[in-house]
Amino acid sequence: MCKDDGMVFDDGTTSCLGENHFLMTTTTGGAAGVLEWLELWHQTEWPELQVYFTSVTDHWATMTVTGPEARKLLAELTDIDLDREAFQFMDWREGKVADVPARVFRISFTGELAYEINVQANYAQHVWETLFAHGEKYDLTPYGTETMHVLRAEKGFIIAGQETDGSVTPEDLGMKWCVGYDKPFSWIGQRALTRQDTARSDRKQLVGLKPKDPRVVLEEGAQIVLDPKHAIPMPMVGHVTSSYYSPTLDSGFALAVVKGGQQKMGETVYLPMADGQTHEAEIVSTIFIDPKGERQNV
Amino acid sequence: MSNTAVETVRIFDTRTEAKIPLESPLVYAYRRSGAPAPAVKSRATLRERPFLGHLILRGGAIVLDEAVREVLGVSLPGEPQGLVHDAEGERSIQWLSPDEWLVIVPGGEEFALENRLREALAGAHFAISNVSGGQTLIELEGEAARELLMKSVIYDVHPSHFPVGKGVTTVFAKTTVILRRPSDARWELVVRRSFADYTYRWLLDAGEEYGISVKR
Repeated sequence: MCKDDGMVFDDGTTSCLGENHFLMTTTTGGAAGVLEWLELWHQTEWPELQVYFTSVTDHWATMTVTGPEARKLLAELTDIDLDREAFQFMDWREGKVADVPARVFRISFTGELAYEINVQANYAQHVWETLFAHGEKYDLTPYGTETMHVLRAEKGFIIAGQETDGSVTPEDLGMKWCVGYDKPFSWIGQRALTRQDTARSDRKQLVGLKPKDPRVVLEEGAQIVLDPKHAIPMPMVGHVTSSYYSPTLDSGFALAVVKGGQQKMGETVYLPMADGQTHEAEIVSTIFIDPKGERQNV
Repeated sequence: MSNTAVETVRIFDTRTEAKIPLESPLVYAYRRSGAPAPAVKSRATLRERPFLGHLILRGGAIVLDEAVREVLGVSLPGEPQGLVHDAEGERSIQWLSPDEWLVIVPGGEEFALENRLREALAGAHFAISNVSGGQTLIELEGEAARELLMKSVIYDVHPSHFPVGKGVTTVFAKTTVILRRPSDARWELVVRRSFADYTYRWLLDAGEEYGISVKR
């Protein structure tokens, strides 16, 4: 979702439940801001649109079952047909999970096969415990936000407020695919995204960074330069937005924004640190693992 | 169901008849902070009414009023901050904003009620959202109830300003609650699940000097 200046301010998923019925998710801290944003535009600019927004954040408890065995585990507890063709990626189904009425979404923020189970929150503990009773044989384990951050970064999935800072457009993030430029009506950010400044090719764009030394985990916020021998002040071309160690890659890896970065694949950049060290990194794709998405699409 | 309004939304009963233990938003608070038993010296008493049906109605007052009178047998409170109950006092409707009302009914009635309202409203522009899992209702009674509220909310709760039949959404100890006054002796707080634990612990803390107790 963009502000009127065309800059990304939050992200999430929107599911069509019925012809006139949608469920929108946002980032954890962004929900109230998104609701206010929708109300603001509805009340001031488009009052003629017949629509109401109601927060159901507290009503639903959401549990994500993710990993290669997710289908097998969930199949033990649900009447929903989980066949990969019958219930495809980016779709949803209604049914029962652990005898509780549920909506299940096939959405993945980990890059793995994933099902997001939504039940009325008063039933959540029962569903959680049932999942774990059945999940023991699959070594089911809870995972926290730190794990989730690594998993999503390996896939190049952004976190609003981390990869974005109010100056990043969808195109800067390589997400032109999700902007409906061909909508037959005006939309928030449309005019801003056709300005010269947002269309220029040397904007800071999201890329992956692979440190030349795999033991290095770059510092988030570290500035990126093209010529480390340049006299200080060096021209800075971008900065690291997310950086972690990946057990799967057995290497540090990072997401960063770099001026014109999408045209700089394979080039080497430098990150001079305050302690005098200079790290070297290669500009690579933002997707470090499973570029074709085969693991979430099994 | 034949009317178009019903066909364009997709709803289902999020409650089940199956024997599954329900947990109210306060379950963790009871476990962690306890529930002081009622004592003679209690000047303030809390009682949670868990697992009620909570629906948010959105729409124009005139069209909603007709449907609500037909289905629930009470008039929609059209005046800002109005709160009305049915004859048994078990079902209530509260004004929340110019096109928004909160309906609270005995637990398990909400899905049937939603369907009947949708039928009565067929063709109109409206929205009904079931939020029963997302909030709980806490009753507050006792001679010190109002004093306790005075420490907790920024809103003026003096009887001259907060008569019976009024309800507001206000700031409660930096969080948000819906505060209502169904009768002379009773106040009600509708709290969101995410803030229930915090609100409960605040009430126990702020109520300590009144010997606050919890009826369970």
